[in-house]
Amino acid sequence: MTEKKINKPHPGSFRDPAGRVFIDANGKLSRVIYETGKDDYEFLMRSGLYSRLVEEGLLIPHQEARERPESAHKIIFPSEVDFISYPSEWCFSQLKDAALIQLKILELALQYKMILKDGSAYNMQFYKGHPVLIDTLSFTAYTGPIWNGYLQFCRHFLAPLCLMSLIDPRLGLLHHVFPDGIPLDLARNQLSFRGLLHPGIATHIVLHSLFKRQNGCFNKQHRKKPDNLFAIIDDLKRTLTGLNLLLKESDWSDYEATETEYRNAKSGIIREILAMAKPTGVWDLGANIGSMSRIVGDVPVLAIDSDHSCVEKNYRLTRENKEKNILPLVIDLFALNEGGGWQGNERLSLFARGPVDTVLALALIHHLVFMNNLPLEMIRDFFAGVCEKLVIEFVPPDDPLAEKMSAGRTVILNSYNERNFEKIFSNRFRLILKRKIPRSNRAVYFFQKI
Amino acid sequence: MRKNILRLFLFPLAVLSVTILFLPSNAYAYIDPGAGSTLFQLIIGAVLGAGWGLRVLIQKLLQKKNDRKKDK
Repeated sequence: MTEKKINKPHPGSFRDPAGRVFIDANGKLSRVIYETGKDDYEFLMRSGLYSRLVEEGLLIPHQEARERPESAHKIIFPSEVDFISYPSEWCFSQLKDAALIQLKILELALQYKMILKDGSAYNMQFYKGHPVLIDTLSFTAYTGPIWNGYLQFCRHFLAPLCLMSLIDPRLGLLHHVFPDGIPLDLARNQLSFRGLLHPGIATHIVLHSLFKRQNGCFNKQHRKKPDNLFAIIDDLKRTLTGLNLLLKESDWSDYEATETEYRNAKSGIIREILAMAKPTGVWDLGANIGSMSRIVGDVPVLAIDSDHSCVEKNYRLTRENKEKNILPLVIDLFALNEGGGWQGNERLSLFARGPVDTVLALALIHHLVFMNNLPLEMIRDFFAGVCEKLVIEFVPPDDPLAEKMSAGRTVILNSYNERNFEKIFSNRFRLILKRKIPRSNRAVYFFQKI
Repeated sequence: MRKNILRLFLFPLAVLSVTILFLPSNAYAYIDPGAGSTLFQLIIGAVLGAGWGLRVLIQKLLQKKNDRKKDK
């Protein structure tokens, strides 16, 4: 067998000594498993746990390289996820589903005498519409009696879910500020009396937060049977299942129920354009609850909105309809997470996760201009940086909604008109098609980047 | 209803009384993720494990009783 020379690992991949992630010049991802991770990996593969998890759609499948790497055990190629996302971008139900799946994986692993090394939300990704574990090296032989990832699980999943459910769903954004999960004392302080009303929260958050810092891992074997650990997992599952989010209507989550004639006409135009564009991937910016995302067809669609209620509704619809190609995320284009972690390398910015073939920017431009004073040139350059094809709806200044938003902004209004829009965008895009939307003064443009 | 009240009040009280000896004078920041709240987990595991074991035993006994009824 020939030996393969290993290039440099990805700078954001360093936390697990058992292996590291590499991305080659073509963007292909691989994981190198070092000698330190050999025993656990081989046990995972031989015990039947890997097959069981992949069959049940809980673990990302991988292929092994035929070449043996230099000074390492093996190279594996995990199946690629359409779009990498982070816990701060997930709505309540996405985070809850990811938590419950991780506990299910942990229970199954214990049945095969293995355990997860950690309890990190960053080990989960959305693959074909549902959460899966992507960290194949996360498994180690179970020697009892505890789970080293228990605290991390409480910080990454339980604490933010409690805050989102009992106080405000926007508190899920705290994941970006605390990359290793919400500190339990912070969660306890924010929850206040609410933390004592639920036995599971009182135990795993409030009581847990009162314990002193301890250093080092617990290495002493007390007993091998994980009965007490199954009891903890069971209690965590009950606690999580009891956390729910009542969907409150936000300013935008009920928007798509209005003006159905306009919407039907617009849908027809979008279908016509998509048939011409034949996209291989779509970002639907300002997707609301995803009505336009759903007419794209069977290609990966990233449905972004800054409104949590919209994303929550959209995700519940994808779950109900068992849609595998749509990923709704909470992303505010004016508050992008630009990198993160050590030297900003551990998490990718939105731009680094692109570009994409086609962007849908429907009923969005007036928000960018009037709510954020963004010049048309900068909007054009943003789109040119993220896509090849652009489907954009121009909302004229005399549109009722644009009029409300632009009240008092005379300077911006002077330059915001259809003629100026077409002139500015023609510097970087070629117009393929323009369609006026019947029963409105709006128009949809299909552009190709020059 | 009675079960919920028991779970709501008595369970945290039970855990608190067992752990009171281990409460620190100050609440410091946390252990690194790998260390896993060891002591807390051992205590909570013992308490929850006892409850879980009791629940499993009751379920088994009820199952046996139902099986006997079916045989008759």
